[in-house]
Amino acid sequence: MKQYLINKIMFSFSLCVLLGSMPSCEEVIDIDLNDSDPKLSIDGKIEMGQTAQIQLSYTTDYFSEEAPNYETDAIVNIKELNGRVETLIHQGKGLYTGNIVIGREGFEYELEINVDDKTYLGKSSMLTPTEILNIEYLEFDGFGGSEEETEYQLQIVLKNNPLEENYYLLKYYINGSDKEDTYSVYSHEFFPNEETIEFSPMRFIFTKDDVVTVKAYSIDEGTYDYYSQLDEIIDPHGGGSSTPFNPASNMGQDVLGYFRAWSFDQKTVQIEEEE
Amino acid sequence: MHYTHKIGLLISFLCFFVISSNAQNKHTISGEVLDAATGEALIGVTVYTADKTVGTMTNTYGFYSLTLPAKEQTIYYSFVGYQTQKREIKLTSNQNIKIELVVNKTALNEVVISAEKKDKNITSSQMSGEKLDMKTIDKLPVLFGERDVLKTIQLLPGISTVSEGGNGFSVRGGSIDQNLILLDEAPVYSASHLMGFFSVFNSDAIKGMTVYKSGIPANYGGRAASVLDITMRDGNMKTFQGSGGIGLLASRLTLEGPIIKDKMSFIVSGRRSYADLMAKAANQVSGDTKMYFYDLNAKLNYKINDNNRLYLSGYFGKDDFGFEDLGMDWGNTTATLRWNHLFSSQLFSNTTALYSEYDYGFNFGDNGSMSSGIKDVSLKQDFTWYANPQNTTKFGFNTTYHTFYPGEFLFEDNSISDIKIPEKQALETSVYASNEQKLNQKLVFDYGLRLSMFNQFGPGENVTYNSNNNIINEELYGKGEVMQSYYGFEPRLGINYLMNSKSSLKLSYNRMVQYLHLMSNSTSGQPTDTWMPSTFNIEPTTVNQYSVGFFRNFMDNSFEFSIESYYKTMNNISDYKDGTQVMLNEDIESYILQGEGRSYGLEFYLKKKYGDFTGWISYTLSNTDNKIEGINNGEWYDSSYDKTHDVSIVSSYQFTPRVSISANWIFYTGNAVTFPSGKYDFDGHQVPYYTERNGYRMPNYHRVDLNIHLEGNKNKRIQSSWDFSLYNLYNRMNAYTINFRESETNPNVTEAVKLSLFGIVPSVTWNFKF
Repeated sequence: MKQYLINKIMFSFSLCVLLGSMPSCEEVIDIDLNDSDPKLSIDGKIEMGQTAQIQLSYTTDYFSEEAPNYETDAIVNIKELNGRVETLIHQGKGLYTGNIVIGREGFEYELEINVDDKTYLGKSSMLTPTEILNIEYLEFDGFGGSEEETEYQLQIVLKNNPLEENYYLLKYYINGSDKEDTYSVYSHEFFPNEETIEFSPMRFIFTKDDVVTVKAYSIDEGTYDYYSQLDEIIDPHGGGSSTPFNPASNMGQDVLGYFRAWSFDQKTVQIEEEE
Repeated sequence: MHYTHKIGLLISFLCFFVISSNAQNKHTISGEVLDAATGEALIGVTVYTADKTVGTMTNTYGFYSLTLPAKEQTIYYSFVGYQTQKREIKLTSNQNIKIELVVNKTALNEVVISAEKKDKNITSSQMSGEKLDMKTIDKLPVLFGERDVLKTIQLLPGISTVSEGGNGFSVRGGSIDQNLILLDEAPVYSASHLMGFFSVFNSDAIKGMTVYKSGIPANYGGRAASVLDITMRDGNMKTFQGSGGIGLLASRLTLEGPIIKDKMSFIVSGRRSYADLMAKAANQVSGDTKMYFYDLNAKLNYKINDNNRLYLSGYFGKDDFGFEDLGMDWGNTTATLRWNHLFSSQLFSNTTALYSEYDYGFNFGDNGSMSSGIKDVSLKQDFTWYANPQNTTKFGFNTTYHTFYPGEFLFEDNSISDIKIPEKQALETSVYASNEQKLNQKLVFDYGLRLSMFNQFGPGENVTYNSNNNIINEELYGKGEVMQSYYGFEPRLGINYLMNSKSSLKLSYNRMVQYLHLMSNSTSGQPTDTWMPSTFNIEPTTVNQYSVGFFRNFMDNSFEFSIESYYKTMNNISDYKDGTQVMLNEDIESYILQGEGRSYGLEFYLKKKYGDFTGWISYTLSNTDNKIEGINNGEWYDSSYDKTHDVSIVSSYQFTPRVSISANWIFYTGNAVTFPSGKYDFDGHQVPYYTERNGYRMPNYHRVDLNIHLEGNKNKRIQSSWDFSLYNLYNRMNAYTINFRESETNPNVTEAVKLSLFGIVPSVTWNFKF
């Protein structure tokens, strides 16, 4: 999946050329969509040093502004392979949490969910945690930039385990927002097997008043693939796939969502005006 | 069937024609028909006897051959827009007769939307083929003032636009890569400038074009859906002249003339867009900004003697877009060297050597660069044997060596490993024979056979994948070793039953095999699409098509009407697994799914060819769907190229000899697309949920375009004309894409966002000629 990033950059550039050259116009429209039968969605995670959190809900109509229906009668088990097993407790609104099984480096976790006599099973591995060693910002002078104010991009240095096939998910937050502005994923294939890796995310640009927080997640290959696919669906301008699709779940073929084991480090940076 | 047996069959097939030709006391009249003013060869001139029982037409090089009984003969040479010439000939031996036709001055200002024989649509065995000359294209409304041959053919029945303003087109449900686009016989792999909005064909350099949708002649092959054969002008053999135009987007200049009068001529035609120059002049962009395309057509033709002629033609075009540290460029290069030779007055030969290259690249400044492309070198030999007035036989061979460059990404930073996908090589060879046989005055058969062979050569490796795209076996091949072979058996048939002088019934069948595949992220085609050969994992696409049509002319052939129906089956059409990354994917073969498709439809066509008011109405009712294991649960689904209704109304009215107005109305059903039928929450995102492939439709598309053409004084030294165009007159904001996303103002709300490219677009072009 090394080409993922390249593909994204080039497709975005092509689109910029296309739209920049043409007198295009964007407009929010009303459109009739079919209402599908509700389908189970799993948003499951276990973080390093934390217990598992599993959110079970059902799909809703695309334009619905109401909360989805939650699955409240599931049996949810988390298992540390070659280790302990725990049945998670429903806390309300489809959220199941545990007390015993805590995320540990180097372990693989298996999530088993039983709903209406159907069993969904998925695994994910907790790889070596990364560390944000340094964040700097550089003036951005690439394409599509604003002419009115100076823009910046990040230069990030991460700690890498050269003996492992690492994958990273980086989320970027602006000005204390709970929801990330955007995210990007990186594969070990992109970098030599060294103890530090350095890159500049081309998609994330900000201005001098912004306070930027970066969360760098260490993820396994399956999670990398899932977030790569997810990005094409939620950010179609940045993607390159001809036909939309449902990102493939690791919990089975007839279910949506994903279960991942991960750890993260975070750092915040603010632009300081040059003297 | 073993391949040698197939070749044996082809030879037997050819012998049948030889045996069937008779050997009475006859002689042959042959030669070429030229424009008297320019010396350009005229294609499609009708040559016939006084009783109109025997006739032929000039070929692509203006050559004709007619074998007649040895007696006094009266021969007519007729071409629409030119004065008919009559020759009395005492036929006692074979004769070479060169004819120069004079433009009919009374018809100079008449709009003629076809330069071919008035009732050719009735008498020719070819169906679903349309010949367009540049006069037709010149009069039509245009986008940004750029006349465009590829946009014009999209107004014909059975040929549909795949995206607003784009040059990618679909023929009878076929994908864009199933169209063979030839420029002076050289294949053009990406026929678009500016991300698809303008074709690479500079109309000043084009003589004419023919598009085939079914009953495709056996001398064409290699693509599954259609052939678009574009011929470049030869250059004026008589006098030096120039022409050009200045438009809003681009300007063009053409120079042509004799090098040796009536023996050797040249034509050079260039075009360049200048949005970047204007933007730089207005200080809107930095000096490093590149934002232009250009192309150059050039041709030399040398008439060595009556039996030998040489043509050398070339095309070079490039798009360049970018900024200081980031850029993208792409372009085609083609070169064609042709030798026409007459072995006898009845045997015409054309030998062609071809080169064609397409490549694109990204430049990331200090970070690195990326490139990809395809290169062809070909040798072609075509013979036409005018055996007798009842039989015209064509045979020949074609061999092409393809080199594919799937892509490489080179990083400047040595700490990041480069990506290099190995080159692929393949040899595509075909032999063909066909015969047009007039059984009697009512029945014409055109039958042919093409045998094709495709070999992929090493160095390389045949990789076997499991269903998870993981490699389970690799077989290495050395340089020149055959990695994979495929064969194609491609019969062609056309039957014309002339019901009377105004009506005919035609039937056709063709089988086409396509060995090349376009790896594309979009249905409309982008410059970053990559060509791939058929391989161990990707099988060639084959298409069988059956067509039937009724053709009727009215009012002294002023009106043409046709209704055609077709049914097409497609095998090994390709699609991708969900989420496939097409570009620079080393294992792309494991992500390709192949299956079957079918397309059927009805096409109505009413055309008024002559008079002050001309134009046509075309309507296509069709259905195209696919069935591919791994997509849509293996069920049939609407193809992305499925368009239920497709209507074009094209009209032009000559108000005065110097003023004409033309207008188009275009309507088509929206493309089949995949929209969400729900959504779900994941990690703070509202994610669309998709249930079926292409289960929805884009909104219907329609627009009106208008063009006013003002002709200057023709007696002046420099003749000029103006074109004022309005594209999308009623400013309908047709949907280019519809995306689904979280609202930017309220992330809890999801919305559908329509992107429209063109509202009303006015343009003006000044054309000149000296």
